Amino acid sequence: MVEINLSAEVRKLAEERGIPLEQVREVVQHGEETKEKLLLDDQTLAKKRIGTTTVYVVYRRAGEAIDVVTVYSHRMEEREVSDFVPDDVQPWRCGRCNKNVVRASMNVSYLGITRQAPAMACPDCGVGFFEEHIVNKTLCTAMCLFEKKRA
Amino acid sequence: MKFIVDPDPKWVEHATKRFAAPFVGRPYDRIDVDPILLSEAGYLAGFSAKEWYLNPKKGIASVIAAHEAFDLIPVAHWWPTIHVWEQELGNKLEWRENQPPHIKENAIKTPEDIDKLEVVSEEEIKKGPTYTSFVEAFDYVRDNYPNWFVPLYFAFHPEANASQLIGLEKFLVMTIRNPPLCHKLIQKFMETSLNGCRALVERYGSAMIVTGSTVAGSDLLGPKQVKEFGVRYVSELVKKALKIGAGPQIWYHHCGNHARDWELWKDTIFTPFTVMQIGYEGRKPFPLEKLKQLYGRRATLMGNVDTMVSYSGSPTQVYEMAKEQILAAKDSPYGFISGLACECPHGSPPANIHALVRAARDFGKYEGD
Repeated sequence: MVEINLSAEVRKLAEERGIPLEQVREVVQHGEETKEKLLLDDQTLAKKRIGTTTVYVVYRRAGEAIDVVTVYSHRMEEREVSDFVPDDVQPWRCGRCNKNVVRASMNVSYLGITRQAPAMACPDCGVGFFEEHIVNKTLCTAMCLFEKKRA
Repeated sequence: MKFIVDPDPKWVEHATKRFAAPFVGRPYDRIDVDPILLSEAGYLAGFSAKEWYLNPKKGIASVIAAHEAFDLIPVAHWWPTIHVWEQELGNKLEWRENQPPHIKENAIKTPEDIDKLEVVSEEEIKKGPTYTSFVEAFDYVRDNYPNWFVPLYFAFHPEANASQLIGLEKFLVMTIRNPPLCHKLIQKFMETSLNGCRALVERYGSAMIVTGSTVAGSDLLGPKQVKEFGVRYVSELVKKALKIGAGPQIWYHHCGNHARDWELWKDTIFTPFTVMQIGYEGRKPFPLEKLKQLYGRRATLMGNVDTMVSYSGSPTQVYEMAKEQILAAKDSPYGFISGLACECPHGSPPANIHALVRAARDFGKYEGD
């Protein structure tokens, strides 16, 4: 079993965001096995849908172990990716295709409502990811607004 | 004593449900209406445009009163001028009795001065007229009419505001003769504006982003230039504003003629709460059918009844134009809000605002409701 290291700061963040260590491990494993991940210098961004939550982990390899940089998650259902903007190249590379990802849109569903949200995605294989601020600010507020407006 | 009588809470509750409908895909009685009442709300309350712009509390209260009187969206929008964040960079404005403020003196006299222009820091922004007047208006609504409280990050249009720092003609010449300098000017304006965003988000936790384009449209620039000086910066501004914590509500207001560039704006950023509005195709309101085809699954659409008709046309003309738009866009996948193509001109007859709402009542009802 791969050793997962969380600094005190990241451990606190994971606790606050309700993400247990087992889920972090599951996401890392998923990213490594499927190559559904993004790469930037020595960092890797992986994600996995676990139950009703999509968990994102940014990590780096430290020998045989994994150092976690940050974790975040959301409860929207991630759906198809569209509207690739080839001119807006992002620094991350696709773990499968080794191509730089570009800005795109990903459809997300919540409470039966489907809308677009800004994402970054591989122009070749189409896999899409959300950045941390999009999840923690844009999607988080959008979920609250959906709940409030649906009430 | 408050300037207006508190809105009827029952009406506010009803209007709030109606306003939420397009965003949550649950139709509620009828299409909503937003004629973009700014100083027109002051006119309806019996005071001048100058008073409206220079008195944030009175100005925003007049919007609330007008929105209740005409049964419009329950959102109090107010801004001190479209020349937001420009005074902080050195532009001098002048207020006239019955028109929006205009520029008396540009901050930059020659293109060479652009290098000397400095981005205004967040601390300095907090002391400037744009931020302080927004705070006066929004604090007043938060404290007195909390149901109406939607703070705005009124970024307006990065390329248009930047052009106003040097003057439109010089700016247009620069787009051809010295594009890098043009980019530098837009960048400096945008970073200043984003510092305004930081200050507002710090105070209110979030803010609806209002942006779009004016100069980057089909009357003044070609599509390639619109992409270079418009789409690029609107995308960058929204991306950065979201990172700061503004949004997820975005109102894209693409002012003026966008006949040749309307498709380019699909490359900007769309969140789950985005409203898309394009003013004109040539001299006619941009066709809602076309807008629906491209943007209907990207955003909630907003109507664009000709502002000249709202000012000098008859109520019947307003009614017919609004009817046509409602019938074209009522079934747009992410909903539709009826409205004017731009700010309701100061002095527009109240009967014309009523006609806009009447069209929504007559043709905007959802089946089964």
